[in-house]
Amino acid sequence: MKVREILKDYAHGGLVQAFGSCDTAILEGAREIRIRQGLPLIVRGLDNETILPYKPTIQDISGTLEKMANHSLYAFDSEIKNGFITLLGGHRVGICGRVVLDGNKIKTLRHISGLTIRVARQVLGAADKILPLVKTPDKIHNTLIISPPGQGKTTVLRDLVRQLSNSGRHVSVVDERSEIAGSCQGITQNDLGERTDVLDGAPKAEGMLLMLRAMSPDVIAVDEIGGADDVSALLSIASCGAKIIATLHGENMADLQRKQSLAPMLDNKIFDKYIFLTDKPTPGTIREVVECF
Amino acid sequence: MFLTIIGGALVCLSTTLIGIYLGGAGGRRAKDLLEFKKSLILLKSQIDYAIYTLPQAFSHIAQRVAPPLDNFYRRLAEAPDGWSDEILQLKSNLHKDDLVNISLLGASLGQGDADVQINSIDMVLATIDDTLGQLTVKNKTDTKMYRSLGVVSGLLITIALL
Amino acid sequence: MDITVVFQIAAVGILVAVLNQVLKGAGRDDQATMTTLAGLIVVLFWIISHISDLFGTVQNLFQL
Repeated sequence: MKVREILKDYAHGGLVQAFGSCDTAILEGAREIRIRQGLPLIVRGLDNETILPYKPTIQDISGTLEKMANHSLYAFDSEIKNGFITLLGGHRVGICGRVVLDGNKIKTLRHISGLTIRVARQVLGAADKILPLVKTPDKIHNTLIISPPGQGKTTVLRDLVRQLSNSGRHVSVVDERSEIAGSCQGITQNDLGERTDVLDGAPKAEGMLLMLRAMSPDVIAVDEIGGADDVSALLSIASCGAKIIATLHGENMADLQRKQSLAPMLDNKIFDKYIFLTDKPTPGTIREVVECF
Repeated sequence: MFLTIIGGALVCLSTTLIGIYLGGAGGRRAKDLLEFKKSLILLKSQIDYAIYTLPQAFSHIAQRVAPPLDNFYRRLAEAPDGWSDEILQLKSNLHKDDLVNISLLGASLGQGDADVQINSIDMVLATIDDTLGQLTVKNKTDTKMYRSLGVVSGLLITIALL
Repeated sequence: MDITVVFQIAAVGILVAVLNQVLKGAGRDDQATMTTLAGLIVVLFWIISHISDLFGTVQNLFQL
């Protein structure tokens, strides 16, 4: 029922009929819904793809986006500039279209030609196997969770934050792309635990330092680090007493050692544990744990 | 004889009252325009400073204005894209011209970025200010005129019917 | 003939003059002219029967 409700609220023009006539089972199992101008709609489930015959027009898409933004596109300016908008419920809608440049930077997107709705599904318990690795009786270990895209890093991180928070630790989440908390207009859509603060939309490096100063956290959680800025921020935080849980795109230890920007991180042994995930049999399965003390 | 006097007095009184009421029309329009102007300034700050979405902005404003504007904004909070329609249906002392001018805002509300919204609102505010300026001058002469008209026409009718 | 008519006409005359001034002062010259005309027509309406009586009387007087 959830997905159908979402689509009912936001679909515009011909999309209303197109989704209305779609089978409920298909909709409810959807992970991703791709709406492309002039191309058939695609509903992607866990391991299948359903193609609906309807081809959206530009008006369908722009009307839908307007409804998603509550008829106030100006209020979502910075999100649209970054290519996405977060709906109530934490669902992320990727936006594609014509880029308007301001010098070399992207000012905004116009003539939206495609929307990709990523249905948010919080998996409670995704971090059950990881928690004992991160939180040992004596202390919490700085942990880096690594996997290729789409294999469960963020879902695991989200649940890890929730479980740590509920077990008595104050956690600060730096949610640059609003994916962990799924905040919509300031309201966190996912359950992140009783002692969690969320900084929504901030660049990671600045965000981490801000949270450290402002929220005195026990643990700082951040998704998809990688740049030199992120690494130097991590260095500062590591020496300040707060623990860090982060995720990273990668396949194995060799990948990490290949990235130049990560060298200070590895050399200074910021992280105690490196947990590698895979999506077989399901996303979020632990493949390998490398300990580094 | 006595009855005639009473009748005459009644006629005079009623025409005078009508005169006073008509004379006040301009003042009432000015008052409503001022209220609306205040609500538009509120809208500006909601969009520009706080960057609230339209439904949020409208419900905030609804809490800070007097009737009939409060219901107007409350209804808008439910259906943010209905600005033009709602305006033209608004029951108030505003002139048709005022309403048409304000309804033009509907075309740009929610479209474009914050600057566009602010500019459109500013344009409407400028027109309202103009109208208010003209009204203050006109109302001074108008109120007196309608009052005198009321009294004199009352007397005229009484005498004509005597 | 009723003397009241004279007073009525006089009163109408004064009131129309006042209206004229008020309207002219408010800048509505055309409406001022209209009310003057209207007053004139009303008064004429009143006295038209008296005037026809007057002519009748004069005719009778000079045919005698």
